[in-house]
Amino acid sequence: MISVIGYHTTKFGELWNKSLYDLVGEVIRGVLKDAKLEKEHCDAIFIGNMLGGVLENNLHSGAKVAEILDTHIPVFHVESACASGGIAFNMAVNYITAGKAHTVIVVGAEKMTDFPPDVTISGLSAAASGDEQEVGLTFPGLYAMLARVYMETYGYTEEDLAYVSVKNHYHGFLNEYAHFRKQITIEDVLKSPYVASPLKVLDSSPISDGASALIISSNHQLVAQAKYVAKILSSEVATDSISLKSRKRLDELLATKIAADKAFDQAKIDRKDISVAELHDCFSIAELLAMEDLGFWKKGTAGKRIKEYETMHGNGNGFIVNTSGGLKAAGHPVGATGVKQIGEVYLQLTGRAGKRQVKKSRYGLAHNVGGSGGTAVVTILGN
Amino acid sequence: MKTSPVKVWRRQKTLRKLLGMKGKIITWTVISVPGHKHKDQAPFPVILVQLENKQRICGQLVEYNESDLTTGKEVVSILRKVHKPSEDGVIAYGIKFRPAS
Amino acid sequence: MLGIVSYGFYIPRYRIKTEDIARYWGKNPESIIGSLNIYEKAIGGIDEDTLTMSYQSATMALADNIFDKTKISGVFIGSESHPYVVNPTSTILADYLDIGNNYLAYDTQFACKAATGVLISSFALVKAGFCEYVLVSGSDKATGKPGDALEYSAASAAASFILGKKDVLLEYIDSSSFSSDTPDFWRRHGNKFPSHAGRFTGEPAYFFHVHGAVKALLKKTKRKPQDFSRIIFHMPNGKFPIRCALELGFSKEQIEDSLIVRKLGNAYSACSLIGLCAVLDKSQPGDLILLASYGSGAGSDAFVFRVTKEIEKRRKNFSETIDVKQYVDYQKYLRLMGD
Repeated sequence: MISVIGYHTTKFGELWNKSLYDLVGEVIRGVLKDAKLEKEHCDAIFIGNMLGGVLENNLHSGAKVAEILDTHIPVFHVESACASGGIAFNMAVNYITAGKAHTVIVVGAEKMTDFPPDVTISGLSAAASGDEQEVGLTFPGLYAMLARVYMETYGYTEEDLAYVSVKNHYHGFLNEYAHFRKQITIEDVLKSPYVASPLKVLDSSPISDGASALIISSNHQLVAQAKYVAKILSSEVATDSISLKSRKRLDELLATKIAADKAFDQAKIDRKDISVAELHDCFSIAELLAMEDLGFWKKGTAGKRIKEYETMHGNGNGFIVNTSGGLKAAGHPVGATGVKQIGEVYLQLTGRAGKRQVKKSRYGLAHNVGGSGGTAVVTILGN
Repeated sequence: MKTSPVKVWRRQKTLRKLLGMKGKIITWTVISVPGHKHKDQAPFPVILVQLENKQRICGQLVEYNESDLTTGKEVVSILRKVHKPSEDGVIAYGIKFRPAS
Repeated sequence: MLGIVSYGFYIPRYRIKTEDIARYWGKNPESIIGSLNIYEKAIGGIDEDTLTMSYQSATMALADNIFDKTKISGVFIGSESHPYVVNPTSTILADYLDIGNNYLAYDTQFACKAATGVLISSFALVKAGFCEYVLVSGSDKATGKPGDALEYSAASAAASFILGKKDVLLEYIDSSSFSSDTPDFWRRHGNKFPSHAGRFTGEPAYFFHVHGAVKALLKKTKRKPQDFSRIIFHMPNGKFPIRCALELGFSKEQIEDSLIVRKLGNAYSACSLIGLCAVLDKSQPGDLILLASYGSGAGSDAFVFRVTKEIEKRRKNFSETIDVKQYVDYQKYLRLMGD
């Protein structure tokens, strides 16, 4: 059994004073401190980052981390677009399971504000196919196409999608590490300018800097002496075609469905056992699709159910989604998100989620997606 | 990064087979905030089309009226420049769409 | 029989009215229209250029599908706005048309007669048996400096002709070319817009050369103006061709159907060729047609064609096609003209 025994995150936002590797160094030192461990306890590091090579011509992150930490342990760079963090976590778990290590640090980090937004937007489209990039499709554009299919197939409007952003902004308001800590209304969402119709600015996650790190271990002694522990019940990955045009259906992310089924199978629990979940809401539509594809809500019903706010903190319900503020309000430093999501679930299960604590959380799920659904990784933690 | 002449040349061979084909819009969006390569074109519509040969491709829609941007609208593929060439780079031609009627 | 086997054309969708350009510059629309006899012109979108327009016109010509396109062994494009200064437009066109690799290609420039010059050479290539089929295209995304007189007329269009000896719809009877060094209109390397010598572009330029070519051709073919059903002259505006026709002894009726410049502007290398496409709408088998282009710098190419029975099977509907249009205002026009 492998457990999460420590977590540290930077604030997400426009962190002008910090470079990518400033952020990486900060969270690695921070997570060691959180778990009250020394760097010598760590056998390997997995680091998820998407844009270092694309924007800054900075690759070979393994060697960079070795320099920052003054270490010689193996360090592995993982890239899966926006799923880089979740996949880094998955590979770390498998690395330990394979017997290559006992204690591993997983870092997710991204620096997105050193360049003008249109350059960053072009960088992000590296997660799309060459054809999609050629015609000028951006990430918002791809999800906008999915949103339109969903809205037209099931009869929903832009207003229905807005509820996701309102809920997640409320959660961000409760989270001191979130990029946006301002609550918004449905009107605010509907009045915000279009990014790619029907998605508007307030339907879309922002461009943020940030880093998060987790320590996971199978070392009985370290786990026993750790103050805050959450068991990793499963971490499963699935893929799908990178281009939208080759997908079998445009009203779902099949990779999510496959990964979820495998994860619940592996964890031996049911959907109803989950009390907290961090879902990949890169755009409002993505959270609706995720609720359905993960099996929490029936296909086609998310647009209606979201309006009840049943997954919002404080509603007294047993299942709360995106207490961190999601990607929308907490921010979306691409490589960091997957790690932050698992970190948030860990905080919830260990009672350290402050104002956004969901009481009696026993099982939690993190759902991280790459690109427009080409990669999906589902992680289930439990106590 | 400048447009690669080799890529343009390689792509041409597949592209030319898809010109002059009819298709139907499966889904669409209007990009208001583009990446830097398409900065000067915004806002522009991008459509995902199912061609008469069952193949699916995406492309920009040009010479349209608002009412043409609907799922199911019939379009035809045409040859256009796909983005503004750099000052001394090659010109990339590619497929765009125009409403069929 | 040697001649044109099939033809195609492309006119972009956007139009701007002369009065809108005039008003923007604070000029009196009526007097501009009165002096130029141009009401509106067609302009290409920012994503269109000489190649994309030529491609559309060539596809229309090939749509007749009456011969194996890989038999085309000559591809020539005449333009003043080739996309590259060095890199042939003609091979990009040939590649997109997928005609194989066994062909001769080059681009030509000679102001507005870039295409008709190579048309004469191409008839010779086919006649001599060097090529079985040749594709000649005239295409331009013409520009005029904002605020200059040329702005009212510079337009975009393309026309393509397949030359051969089988299934000819327009028989080539004869041609004559008249050339000199006359600097009435030019564009230097690196200049975005052409320059011109004002009124010098009239008598000593346009009229002198068109007269020269037409008179030489009439003499060569032993023909009189009355023999022709319709004529087409290059159209720098809506006045010059009419005056030239009358001076040469033709009637206004003979040139009337060709005067597309009034609605489409002057698309430089495509101009007289587009006029020919318009005239073919109404031409009947047996009709004699005279075409005289004009290219600044300067020269004129004149042709005598005879319409054959083939036209009845493969006439393309020019006037209906060009009616699909969308008007833009001056601001949008500037945006379309781009960079």
